[in-house]
Amino acid sequence: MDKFHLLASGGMSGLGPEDVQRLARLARLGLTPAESAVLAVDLDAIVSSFSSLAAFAETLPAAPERAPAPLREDIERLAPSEVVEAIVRAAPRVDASTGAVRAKGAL
Amino acid sequence: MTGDPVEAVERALEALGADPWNAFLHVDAEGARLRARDVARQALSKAPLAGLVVSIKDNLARASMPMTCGSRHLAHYRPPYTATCVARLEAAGAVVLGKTNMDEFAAGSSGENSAFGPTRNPRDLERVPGGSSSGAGASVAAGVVPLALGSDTGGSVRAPAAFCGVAALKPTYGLVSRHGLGDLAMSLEGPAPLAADVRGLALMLDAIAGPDPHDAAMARAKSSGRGFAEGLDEAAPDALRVGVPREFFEGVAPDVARLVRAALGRLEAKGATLVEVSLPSLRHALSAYYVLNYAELASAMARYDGVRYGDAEAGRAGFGAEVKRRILLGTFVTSREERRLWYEAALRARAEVARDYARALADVDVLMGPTMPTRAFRLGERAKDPAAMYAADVLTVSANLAGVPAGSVPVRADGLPVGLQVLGRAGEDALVLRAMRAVEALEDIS
Repeated sequence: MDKFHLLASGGMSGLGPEDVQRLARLARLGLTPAESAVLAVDLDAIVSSFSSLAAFAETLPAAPERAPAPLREDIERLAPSEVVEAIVRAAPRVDASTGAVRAKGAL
Repeated sequence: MTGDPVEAVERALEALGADPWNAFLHVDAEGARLRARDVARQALSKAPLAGLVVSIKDNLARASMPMTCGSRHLAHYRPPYTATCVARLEAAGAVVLGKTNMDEFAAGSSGENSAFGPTRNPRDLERVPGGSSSGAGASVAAGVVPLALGSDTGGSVRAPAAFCGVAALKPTYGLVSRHGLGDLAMSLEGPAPLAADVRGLALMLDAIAGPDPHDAAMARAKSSGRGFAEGLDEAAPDALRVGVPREFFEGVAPDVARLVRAALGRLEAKGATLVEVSLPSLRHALSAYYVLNYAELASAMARYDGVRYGDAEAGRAGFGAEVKRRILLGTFVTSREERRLWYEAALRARAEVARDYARALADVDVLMGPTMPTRAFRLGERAKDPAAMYAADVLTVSANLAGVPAGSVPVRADGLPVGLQVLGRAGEDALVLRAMRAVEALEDIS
């Protein structure tokens, strides 16, 4: 039984202090172990209280009108060399003989 | 001209005194006096808000004033520019007295989550004023200012209005520019006025509404953004068709339900037509709202890393408990494994809420029901139970999901105030205000 079905059947979310620590690392949020323990209880209670949402969404006749925008984690990071190339492409060009700066595309 | 601005500022400062409500985080007494003299001297003395003193929620930028968003993380931040809505209030002759207390980054329903201490309800100092625009509501209820500018993400001006006994309006999403608003959940929130009466709301909306090239969401607004005060009193109750969603009374405290139904009865006795309608998706609106709120907040908070914004020394560990909870939950609901079950489900539920509103409003002018399910609760009563705290928002969040205008106006009540909520179609803010005025005129509680 996956987490969705567990929640839909009214079970608890199963979120524990280790999950909270993992989420905190992803969110770059420094938490003490004591904080993690307290937050795990809070998060478990909150997520459990929202457990009917997914089941409700499954009953809806239509899909969202627009697909959600890609989330930060889905956007591929550029390799450093690609970043440098992108900056160089966007930068104004300099005439080496006079030092004059020309707008991009003016050469 | 509504009065001498210089005298108005002195009256406001006298009423504020030592601020026993902790309503203000920053008071600019000298700046307000200077500004009032300018208004009195210049052509602004004939401006629509001349002589009126206003408080600004501390998540709205005003150049030269601090902007903490209720967080120690921004304790030393001063924005280099002024929010569009604040600049427009000042251009209309209003004098800004200072910045008001709020739940940290607007994450709260009671006004207890500020890093600078909770705000207290002027009607009962042992009770919460409602949040997140807690100081805004308290500043009006205490009689310090007649007008306050807050923001509403899921009820953040309507909760303080209901708990403190003042009027507030969450405008149609996109009617008021968010430029200069420290955002929490960008698809749900916007600046929103509070006032001692409905006319004050309309005057403020006349000043702050309308297109702004700095906010891309403005293109979605259908209203022209003018003429809200004009014709406010033309709302004859006998011309109103009012939808009463049955779900708005489910789980509501019996005394609140009784008082709101009594007000609706008085409206009907004056000729309004009441029609029972249904918003079935309301039962899932609270969870959909919070899932989206978490997701958007977690994204918005990424910038407070101590480099771009915020206190590098305190670090992200310096956020309060509720902000941490929401960042963690936002990370959870948008994670690769959970996104379909939570974030995408919430988007689908949100679309259904909007469809429900369209259906419910098809044959009526406005919807009415209670603003809050209870009266103001005691400070600390729900502080350790986040789910119980979220439940306070059950009647307000759906308007933010649907992007429709929603206001709160006090009704006749013994003891602590009770708010009646009025909701309308997107872009019909003027009609919502007229309906609120019709209720206010009947109630005669001011």
